[in-house]
Amino acid sequence: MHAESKGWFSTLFVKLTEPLIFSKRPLTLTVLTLMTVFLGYQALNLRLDAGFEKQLPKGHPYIQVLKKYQDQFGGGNSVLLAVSQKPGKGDIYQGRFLESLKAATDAVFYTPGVDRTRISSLYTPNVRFLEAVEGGFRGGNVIPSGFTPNEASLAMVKDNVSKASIIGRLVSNDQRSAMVVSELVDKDPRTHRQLDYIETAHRFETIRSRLLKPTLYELKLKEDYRGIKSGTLVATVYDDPRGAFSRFKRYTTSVRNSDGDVTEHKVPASKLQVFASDNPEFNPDIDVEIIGFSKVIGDVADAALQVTGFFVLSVVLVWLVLSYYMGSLVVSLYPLSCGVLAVIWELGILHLAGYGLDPFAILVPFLVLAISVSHGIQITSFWLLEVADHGLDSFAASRATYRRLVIPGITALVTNIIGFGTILLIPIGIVQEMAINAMFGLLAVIICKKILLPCLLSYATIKDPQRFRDFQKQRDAKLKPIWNGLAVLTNRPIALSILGGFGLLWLASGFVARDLQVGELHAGVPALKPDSRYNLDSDFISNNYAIGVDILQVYAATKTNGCIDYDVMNRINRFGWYMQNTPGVVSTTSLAGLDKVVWGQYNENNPRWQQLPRSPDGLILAGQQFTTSTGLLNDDCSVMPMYIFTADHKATTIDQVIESIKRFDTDGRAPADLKLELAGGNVGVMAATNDVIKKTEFTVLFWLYLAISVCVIASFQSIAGLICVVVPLAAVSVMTYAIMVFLGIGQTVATLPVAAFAAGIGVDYGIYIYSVLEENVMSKGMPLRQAYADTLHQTGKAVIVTAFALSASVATWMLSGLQFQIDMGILLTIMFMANAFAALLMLPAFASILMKSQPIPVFARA
Amino acid sequence: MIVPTKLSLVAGLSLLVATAAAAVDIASTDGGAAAPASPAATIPALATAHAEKGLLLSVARAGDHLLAVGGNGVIVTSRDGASWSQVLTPIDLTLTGIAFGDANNGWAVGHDALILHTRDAGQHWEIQHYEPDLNAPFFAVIATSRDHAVAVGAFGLMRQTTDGGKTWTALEPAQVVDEKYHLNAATRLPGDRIAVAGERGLVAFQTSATEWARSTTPYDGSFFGILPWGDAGAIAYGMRGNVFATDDLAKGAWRKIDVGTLGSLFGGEVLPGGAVALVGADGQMIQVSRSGASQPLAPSINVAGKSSSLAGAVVDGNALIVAGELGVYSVPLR
Repeated sequence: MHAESKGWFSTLFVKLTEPLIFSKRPLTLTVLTLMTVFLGYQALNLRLDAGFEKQLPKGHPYIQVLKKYQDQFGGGNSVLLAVSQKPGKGDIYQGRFLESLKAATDAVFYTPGVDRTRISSLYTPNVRFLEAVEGGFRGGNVIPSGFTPNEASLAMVKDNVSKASIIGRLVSNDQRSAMVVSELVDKDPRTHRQLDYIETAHRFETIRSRLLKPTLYELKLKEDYRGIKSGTLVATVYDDPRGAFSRFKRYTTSVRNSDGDVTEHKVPASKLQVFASDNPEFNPDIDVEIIGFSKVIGDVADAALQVTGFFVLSVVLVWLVLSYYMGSLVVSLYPLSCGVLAVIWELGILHLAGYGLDPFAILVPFLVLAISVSHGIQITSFWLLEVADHGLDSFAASRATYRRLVIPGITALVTNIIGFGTILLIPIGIVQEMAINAMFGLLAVIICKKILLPCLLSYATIKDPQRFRDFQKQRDAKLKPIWNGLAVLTNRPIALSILGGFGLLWLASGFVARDLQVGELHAGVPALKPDSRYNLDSDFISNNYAIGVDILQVYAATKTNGCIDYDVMNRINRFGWYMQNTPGVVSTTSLAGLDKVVWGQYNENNPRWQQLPRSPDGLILAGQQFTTSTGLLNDDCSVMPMYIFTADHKATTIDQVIESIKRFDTDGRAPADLKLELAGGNVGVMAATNDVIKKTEFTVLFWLYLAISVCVIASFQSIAGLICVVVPLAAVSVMTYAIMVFLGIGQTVATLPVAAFAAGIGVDYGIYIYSVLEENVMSKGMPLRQAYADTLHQTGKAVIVTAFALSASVATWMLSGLQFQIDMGILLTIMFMANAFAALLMLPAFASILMKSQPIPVFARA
Repeated sequence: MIVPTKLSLVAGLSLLVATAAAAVDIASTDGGAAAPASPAATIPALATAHAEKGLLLSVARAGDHLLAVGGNGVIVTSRDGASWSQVLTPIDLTLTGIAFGDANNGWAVGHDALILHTRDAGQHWEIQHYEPDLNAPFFAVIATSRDHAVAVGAFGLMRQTTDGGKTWTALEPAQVVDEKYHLNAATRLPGDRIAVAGERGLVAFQTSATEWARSTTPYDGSFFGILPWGDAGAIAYGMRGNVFATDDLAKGAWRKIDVGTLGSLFGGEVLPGGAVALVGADGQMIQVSRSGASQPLAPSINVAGKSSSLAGAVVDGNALIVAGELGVYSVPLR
């Protein structure tokens, strides 16, 4: 892409490598094929990586505190399943509804991974109503055993519900929805393995189907299979399992043998027969909402996998763009297939290096495809030029292409690698892995594009070179007026007004970009789309129940048995009261706050008793019912988290709340042995992440632009070149900030790498254009306007096609179910296009001001 | 970020509390048994933006404005019953009662046998009495003049001042404190006589400045409040909607008044014309007319997922100002 490769190193490199590759082409191809088979096999073994730990900015003090206490507060991993009457179907006190609620409760009870002792719903015996009566308390089950629905018994249930104080928790505020709350165990009690959250999420999804799908499908064995009797029911599903690829699915069934041991078998669908019947539990009047940590993981994983399907679409789009450019659907298959091969290599290397596929990693293959295609365009177009215009045979043309392009190509890729390397500065595991992954991809691109593609092209033939040439000429003639028109930009007055225009746009963008927010702006789980099923469910539950989903945890760390020390508890209680009065805080929950309420309840429910008892005995009594599984205290009662429920998780809210917390301890009244440590909860993690983004944004951009600048200066040895290439990039990045404000996208760990990818890849356009322009002006002595028109004639088409090819490969992310993938797709698409147009428009304008025409006497070139 | 840490869905944990089945009657067994805590240095109440939304237990009028006291040492004041602002207090304990002897001089009482005093209608407060070692809260204070007030509380706690609070002396009339029952409430009867109500159906009243008498009531549970009923009578109310009235306290012919609720009643106020307003659990407000008929005074104050007991009330023109676990509300009177 650059000017001709010069220098002793490049000459030596080409001299050494060219015979190595081209003298024994069959051997080269065999080696590459074997490598592909090996890496392809590796790639097939790539597993979805649910290591969600690495999404945390692990070096941040908040996260270190979180890690320190995480193990002490196991539990808290609940799944909330709400069964709700559809609008217009009345309240929950109806026989049919309660039947569905009972079915849901039973289904949750029998779900593997659920702690059966910690399920609560109206149907579980642990949910009781309790009244303070003369001389003590009186209580009972909300729904008594042997309940049969009739008018009187339903009215009694309604009365019990109100006495049990569960409205807002197990019954919605408007009593049209009821909840089954369950806790998950950390380890599967049967297999002793870490609980598979994704599997668990799918099991809860099945419960939803079980209540909402009219038909059920039973899968029974057609014949005996591995000792399981024919006719055995292997699985019950609620979506028709007889789809296109259904034969390849396997169903897991567990069989208890005579010793009582349970073994699991995977049964292929081909051995099963499907029996459809009406689903007896189907209730058309209800809906089911499910939220919880493991459900989030399951939904994110499912959506992450979905995006792989869009890869095919990306490949097709890129193929179309390439075919348009090359004028041949077949020739374009060469760079395309090399691109796909690079992706296979990348995934193979990824698995070899011990990584898995996480939601960020899934995006990298798209980028690799984009980059390798943009290089493929150059290689193939140069080869076409040699074949069509210079009449070389395929083999000679390939060698010429290799000689000409291997060094500039590798230089450009190295620039890309450095650009991606700056992403490593973001101290979040998943993003760093993305950078490493992208670097693997670029290595794969170097081999696939620089070695394989010329090698393959040497076998390619063009059937009718003349027709092909005519087609190219015809199209070039059509584009000529556009290029000549753009060349007007080199007129100094027009150049100045263009630059002035861009300057104003830049200023305006900068002004708008001041409103750019750090952090997540949407409600619900930020990874998922606002209208995803999960976020709609979460929205429903937080609107209809007194349950908050944005939680900041502050750990009150004190001495052993701190929970029976009045001074400590009073301080924590004061902190809770302080936080309740902080804007952005909805409510707080802590052991100290609850002890106070419990003390009132123990004293005949008289609110005048709501004060922390001063004596240790009183504190023991008030707190005795709170076990460590509540997440309110640890084993030795030395750490007690304060749960702060915030109104939302916007960065401004989080900042305000955190600032307030820090101010609290400045009153000098804290007991010496009590420390408030930040932070846990989803809001705590976001606070840490936002902090990291704010701190690393400048560093990343600084090193990114420094690295690009060094590469550009190394290429052109001129300040004019630097300005011509880098300023348009910077302008586009500021304008992108403004676009983010308009689109309501906040600065997150997803958008930071976007800046690096866009600038790292986008710099190619400028380099490409400037290198030809400089050659035309400096070496060939053309006047600037003519030089630019000629430059565009040579490269303009390639630049635009590259922009479209790059955009095409990332635009499909917008179809993803994951919000950050959508955001990245939007921004990268915009930036890949904008960088091309900024380069085409701004570069000549800058050149007209900065580039000194130094017509070199003709004889000097001889 | 892809995923937050585990969503610990502990909201509404406070409600878990109600499901605890430990039926222990601690109220009458705690107290003296516990090791006395050393009186810590007093910590001033926190100045907060919305103290009027916190736990408030008692409301009173001082001259032309209203005052309410409650949890965390909060005292809030208002001229119109709608907008409230916090007054700074020297201690952050739960305050349970407030009363004024005249337009400017008044007392607020609370836990740790705390008594606060103001001379400027509640703008500034100072500690007059504070005995954390007693391990007993005051629940109510009644002032008959700027000099004389009586405070009552748990385990038969009774204190009196006759010098504007310079000294607070123990009152120990056997008719009132013998069983060390909780004295949950006090009221001022016509003729500046004081009546108290408490545990086990306890109702006692002053027959003279120094003499007290016990009235035998037909109820064995706790009374949380007592109010004058006509010229010579009283109405006592308490657990689970139990309300009893007598037209002559001295004679003590109590009759049960059906108020149509099983919720406990924690506070009340005499309305113009002699009827009474009673407030209590689940934000219920009930009006009992002199004939003994009762009806809801206003729709209950409830916020789903939150406990909303009311404990204090005072008449303010055409409105009843009520206070409880969700703060202070102004309810129009018909």
